This record gives sequence, C-alpha cells and structure tokens, in this order.
Amino acid sequence: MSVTRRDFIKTNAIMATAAAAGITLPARLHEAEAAAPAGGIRWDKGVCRFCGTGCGVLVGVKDGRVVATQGDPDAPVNKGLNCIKGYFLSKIMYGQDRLTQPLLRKKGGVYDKNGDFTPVSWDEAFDVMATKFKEALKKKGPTSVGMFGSGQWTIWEGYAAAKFMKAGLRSNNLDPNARHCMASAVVGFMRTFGIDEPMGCYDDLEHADAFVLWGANMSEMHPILWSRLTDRRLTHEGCQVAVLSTYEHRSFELADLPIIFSPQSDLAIVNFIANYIIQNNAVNQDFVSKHVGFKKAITDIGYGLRPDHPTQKAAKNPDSGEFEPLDFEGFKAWVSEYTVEKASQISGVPADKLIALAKIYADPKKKVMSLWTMGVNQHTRGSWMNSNIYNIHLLTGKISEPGNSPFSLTGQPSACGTAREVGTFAHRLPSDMVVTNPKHREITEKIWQLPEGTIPDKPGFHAVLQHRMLKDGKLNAYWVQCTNNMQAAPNMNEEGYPGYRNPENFIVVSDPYPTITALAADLILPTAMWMEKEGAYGNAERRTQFWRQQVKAPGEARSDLWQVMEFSKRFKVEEVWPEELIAKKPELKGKTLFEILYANGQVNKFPTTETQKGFENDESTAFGFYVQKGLFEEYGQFNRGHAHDLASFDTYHQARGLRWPVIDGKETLWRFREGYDPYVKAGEGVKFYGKPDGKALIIAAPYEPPAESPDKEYDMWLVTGRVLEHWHSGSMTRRVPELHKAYPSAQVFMHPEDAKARGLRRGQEVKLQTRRGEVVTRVETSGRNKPPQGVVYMPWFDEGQLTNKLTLDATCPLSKETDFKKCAVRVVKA
Amino acid sequence: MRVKKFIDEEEGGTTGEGNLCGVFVQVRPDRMEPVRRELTALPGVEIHHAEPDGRLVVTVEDTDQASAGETLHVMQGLAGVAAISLVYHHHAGVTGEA
Repeated sequence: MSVTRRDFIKTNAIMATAAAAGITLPARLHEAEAAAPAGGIRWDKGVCRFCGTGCGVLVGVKDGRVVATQGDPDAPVNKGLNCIKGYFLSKIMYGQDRLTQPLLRKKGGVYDKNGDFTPVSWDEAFDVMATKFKEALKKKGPTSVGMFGSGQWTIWEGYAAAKFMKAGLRSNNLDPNARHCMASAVVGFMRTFGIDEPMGCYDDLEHADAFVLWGANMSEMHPILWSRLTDRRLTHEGCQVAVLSTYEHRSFELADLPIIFSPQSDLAIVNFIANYIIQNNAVNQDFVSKHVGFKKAITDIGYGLRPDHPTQKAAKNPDSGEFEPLDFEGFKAWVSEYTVEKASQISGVPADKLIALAKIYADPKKKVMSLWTMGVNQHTRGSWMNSNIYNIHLLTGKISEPGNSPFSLTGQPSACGTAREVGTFAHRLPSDMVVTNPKHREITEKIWQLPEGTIPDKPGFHAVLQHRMLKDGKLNAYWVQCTNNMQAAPNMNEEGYPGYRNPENFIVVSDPYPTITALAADLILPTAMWMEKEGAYGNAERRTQFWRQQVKAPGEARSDLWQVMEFSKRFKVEEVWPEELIAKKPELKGKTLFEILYANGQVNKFPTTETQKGFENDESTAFGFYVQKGLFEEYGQFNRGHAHDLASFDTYHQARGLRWPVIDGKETLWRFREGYDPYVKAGEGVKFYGKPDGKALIIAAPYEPPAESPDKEYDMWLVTGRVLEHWHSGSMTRRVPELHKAYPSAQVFMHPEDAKARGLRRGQEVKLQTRRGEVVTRVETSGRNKPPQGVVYMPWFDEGQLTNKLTLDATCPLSKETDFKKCAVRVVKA
Repeated sequence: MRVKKFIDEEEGGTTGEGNLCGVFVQVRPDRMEPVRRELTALPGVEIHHAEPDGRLVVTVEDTDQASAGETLHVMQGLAGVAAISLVYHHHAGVTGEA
C-alpha cells in the first residue's frame, strides 16, 4: 500500500471517528477527504449481525466480497459508532472452514448414525431428511418432530419456519434460542402489561438523570448503548450510575454506586426498594390509583427441573403462574417485611448502599432508567424479577416518558423482531398470540387460509424440554437452524449430548460453520449468512431494520429461508394431515406444503421484478416470486391495527429502521402515554392497553432461594456469561483472527484469596467440577472481572472449554429460561 | 474442521498487516492526562484530537509488536477509560490490496 493511499485511509478513519464523536476537526482533514478516490467499493446500509442493540452498519462490497464495514453515521441507534466485534464484521463470512455442501453421516454409501460426514447433494440430503421426518410422524405423530430456531433468524425466516412447523407439520415443537435469553422478559411483560416489549426506547439514554444496571455488564455486552450512557454521565450535571452485579466488571469503571450482591438476592433488594418508596411517602398516588392494579404471585413454584428431581418434587406449587387478589394496602403490608436490615442480610450489601439506591428511585425529581439482560432473565425467578423491577417504576410513575424507563435489553439481533414478534416460541403465534387460545388460533388459521383446527392447541416442547425429550426418545426428528445449542444449552453432559446421539433420533443442523452442534448432528446443511441474503431484524427498542443481499453465499450454501421452503415441497398434505382436516378444505387435496403455505396467493403475490434493483435475491430467483416481501406483507396482517403495526415492506428498505407501532408512517418512541402513542386516546393520559382494564399490574413476589447453592462438597458459586470480544458461542467471532487473538481462550475469574486458599497461581491449569461435569481451564485473578470471595465467573464462548457441561438445567418455572448464573462448583488443581 | 485448527491455520497465513481502526475513546475527565500518556505509549496508537470533556479521536494500527486487536484489548483495560468504540475499520488482504 502506498503512503498516500494509507494516509488517505487514515484520514477517513479520523474523519469518521470525529464525526461519530460529535467533534468538528480542522479544515485540512476535510480537504483530504474531498480529494479521495472512491476505491471501487459499493456501500449500502446494513444491520450488525451480533447483539440486540441493532447498530446500523455500512457494508462495503468489492468484487463480490464484503471488504469493509463502518458504523452508519445516519443510523439513529449508533450514530456512526460500532463496537470491536462490529468492526470486524466484514470477516465473519470468510472463515476458512465455511461449509459449502450438505454433509450426511454415512457408512458403506448409506446413512448411518455412526458413520462419517460425507458430502451429499441437496436432493439426497432432503430425501433422507424427509424420510426420517415422515417415519417419525407416522410412528408417533406430530409431537415427535421438532425444530429449534433463533433470535438471529431474519423476520421472514422465523415466520416461514413457524408456518412450516405449526401449520405444515402441525407440531408446536418449535422454540428459539431466545428461550435461553429473553423468555423471562417476555413473561414479565405479559404478566405486568399484557403486551410484550419495552415501552421506552434508546432515546431514554439521553434523558435520564440516573441509570441502574441490574446485573447487566453493558460495557462489554452492549458497548454502543454503554457509550451513549457514558456520554450522558460525563456531560449531564448530577447524573448517577448505579451498577449491581454478583461480581465486579468493566461497567464498574463508571459506577457512582457500585453494588456487589450475593446470587439470587436481587429479589430481596428490589422488594426493599418498593418498601422504601412506600415507607418514605414517595409513591405517586395519582398514577397508582389511576393506572395500576395489584396481585400476589403464588409461591414455592419449583425450579423447572425434571419432575423426578428431588428439588422439584419438594415444591408445593410447581410451575404455577397463578395470582391471589391484592390491593395497595395489602401490597404495603406484604412488602413491609423487606426492611433494609433484611435486604442487607440476604444480599450482603451494606445498608447505606441499599438506601442510596432506593433514594434514586424515590426522588420524584430524578428520571431513572433501569437496564437489565441476562442477570435478571437467566434466573430461576426471572419472570418475577422482571415484574419486580416494573413494580418500583410503577409505584413512582417513572415509566413511559423520556428518561423514565425500565428497559429490558436483548442479546440477539432479532430476539424481539423474530423470536418474539413472529411467534417462534412453543406456546406462541404471531403478534403476542398463543396456541392455547382458540380465538388466536382462529385468527391465525384465517390469515394463513387454513382449515379450522390445523394448529394444535397444546404448547410444544420448550428449549430445555426438547433436549430432555430427545434423550427420552420422544422427540425423534429434529432440525436446528442458526444457533449453536449444544454449546449454549445447560447440562450438556446429562441432556443435550445424549439427546442428539440417541440412536432413535435424526438430527439436522443448518449452520455456516462446523460448530459443536453441527458436529453432534447426523446431517449438516450449509447456510448462507448475514449479507448473503436479504434480511430484516427487530432490535430491543422495537426498531425493525432491513438490508439487501450484498454478496452470494459460497458453494452450495443456501439461506435458512430457502431450506425451509424447499424442504416443504417434499410433503404432500395427505402425508401430514388427517383426512378429516383436509376434508374441511378439499381444494387443498393433493397439494404440497409448499403450495399450501407459500404459494397461497399471498406469499407469492409479488413478482421478482419488484426485488431490489442492482442487488441479487437468491431465494426470489429460486422460487420465482419476491419471497421476502410476500412473507412480510402476509405477516403484516397480524400486527396492523393491533398495537404492533409495522410499516410497508418497501418503507423499511428506505428507512434506517422504524420503531413499532408505526402509524401513518410515524414511529412510536414511548408507548402507553398520550401524545407519544397513537393507541392512547386524547384525555386518557396513560393507558396500559395490553390489559383489559388499562391498568398495569404490581405483582408481589418474594425472595426464594436458588435451585442449587454452594455446600461443603461444591463450595463456590459458578456464574457463566460473555466477553466483549466474542459473540455468544464464538462460532463467528472466533473465526476473526483479530478477535481470536484479543481473547483466545476462556478462563475462570477468581478472587486472589480463593486461589491462594486452594494453592493456585494465576495462569495455572485447574478443573472446574460440578455434580454434572468437569471442565479444564486456567485461573485469572487480576483480569477485567473481579469476583468476590466464594464466586467464580467463566465465559462460555470457547468450544475448547465447554462451560455448559457444568451448568444445571434449572429454569424459571414460568418462562422456562435456564438460570446460567447460579450453580455450585469446586475448583481444584488440574 | 475444528475452530482451533482453523485458527492456527488462519493465523499462520496472516501477516496481521493492514488493520487500521478509527477509535472513539471516552475517558473520565479526571483521568484524562494519565490515559493520554498511556495511550501514546502503546504501539500503533495515535491521538488525533482530545476534548476536555473526555472525548478522544484515536487511530490504532497493526505493528510488529501488537495487532490492532490486541492493542484495543489493552486500551479497554486502562483505568479511566469508560468506553471505546470503533468507528472505522480498514483491512487489506482479502482483495489482494497491498
């Protein structure tokens, strides 16, 4: 590279950075920019492939390859910024071990569960796969087939898969990896507000006077939102940041009020805050009397373990989400037992710090944004804890207005847009509807043009239950797309691995790379990823964002969307539906599932001539119609007019994303409040319209102990989680050399005194042992994470150190989301 | 086909040259001076602009001593650095640009 070319690039780098930082630089740099050559790169808007923040990126393509990315200065989410992962995005598609053809386990030229992976054609792959699915359906019916999907699926991929499973194969055994991530948030929203997803948005970051991080390490997991929060903290007089966690991490760098609490005790802390607000007359009485109702949760609800587990058997009301009646006075009396002394005793947090925290919420002049992710969601009382945080915002009326915002962050790029909104959970249908409600099934069957009774009325197997059912031989034909669940799911030794390798089962995994999950399967399908297809994601602030297909996938790799739709051609309706169902709509006789679900006059309505000019669209070319537009516009019928309104397909290809509900082309920033939300009529002020009476619920839910706590044998807490440099299981980021070098292997973070007491030195090899398994790693006593004594922290991105051999598959009994943050472990010399 | 093997191969075939990152660094204002000194001492790091409120415009490049990725990793850990964001990234190599 010549000096002048390098200087030019550097000038670009400086200019872009200054612009994103809101800094005006001297003129000579602008002149250099103006003199720049174009470089032959085509730039187009895109969305980051990683977390739920939903940063806009500009994607640069040259000679059919993505060669550069940069933060999109016009994207309202990140305003030109990106985190370190975002900046190496251009490299995630180009790992040397990209899968380019289907691979089937074979011995002697035929499929064999114990055979070696052998390249096969798509035809052969789908033939074997269809045979296995049909065998299972014939033998045991629709509950023996299933699919595991993803909060990384595009909106239309999730929608097409939901139609294929719930209507096509008539099985509700479809669940997304978002179960591990967001399910408790969803249950919290539904119980408190009756409608899913945050009322506020990222704009709250520029309006709040105080931020409270409940267990979230935003500095590493949501760096761009953290950058916006940092900017507010450094530039807004009197702004405060409180950081609560079970160990010290990078976000403590900015904390005015740092709080380390013992695992599970957040329940006691949040109830103390509610009590403090009431005792100190800080209740917003007007707000509470008009907009809030009260209920008491049924308690002693178990831990989502297998029914024969002793801990589960001991529960009085396993899995109960029922309520008892309550009013304000009743709540006041109930919560009064959470004194500062009690909260301090349970949590180990000094009383003065708890009071300082409560004062942030109690001060009527202070606008508060609460932020949380996995610490609250991955929690055996995660659904309760979500609602408990809403309790303190509702008591004070600090909600649904700029800066007053309880905000549930998300971990995946379309956990909201796809997993939640489209309805890929085992109990859900599009737009917050559920399979157990006959009216909801009727609406869905009508839009999908299907006979009444097509969609089964029982929830399917959720994520953790899918692994149990695979192991027990009840789920036999299983398709995993767009997720690395062998590495991500809990208790791999006892549930996941034996489930996949059960000789009764046929496991298919679609992925761009040979992940642990793919290698544990029987058939691997090569997947087109990210910019190799036209896509849409929905982020944590209800923002729906589109991108165009930028490049072609390598070899024979095909998108998940193509795979589902093409596979559906293998099924004649007579092979999967009972006669009496077909008899209700005889015109469906002899048709394939593809014809019934996708060539239904709606999905195939838009011709290929309408696809994005100048860009390829491999799915539309393959099927002969504008697939993405047809799916999106059919899906739009579910949400328009029901407070989830999406704009038209074409609008999103122009916009930098829009936050739903989008009414008359206008997005909604704050829901439930007049003047911001068109669903709240003039004179109503605030209306929580997700509930029939327009009132949000304050739900009394106590502290209950964790499923497993340290004891003599296993004497420490194990907390698992993520690191800045890697995204989740590392299947993409570990293939970017820069990110791999920056953080090559997982470690166990440990207090120096705990290490000393066990005769361990920093860097030494150790074994982590739980009742379920053992992992070898190295000790880190002075890194970015500083656990207190008695706690160790280990990230799970490293497939060489499978952290989830250790974890317990205990879940929140209501959300069925695993608690990855608490189990008992011992650390010994390797 | 395994990640570890792949990374060994990938790293073996990569010189690490060519990465150039534009980085927005946010520093606690009371820690501005020490952070500036520490940043300047890192290989491949240049500070192009600093605002008194803690905003810095920085470039990070690969050097023989450390890749840009490694340097960013170190920057993230400096006491007083509240947040770092990459705004621009360029890498040569995939298109044979030299």
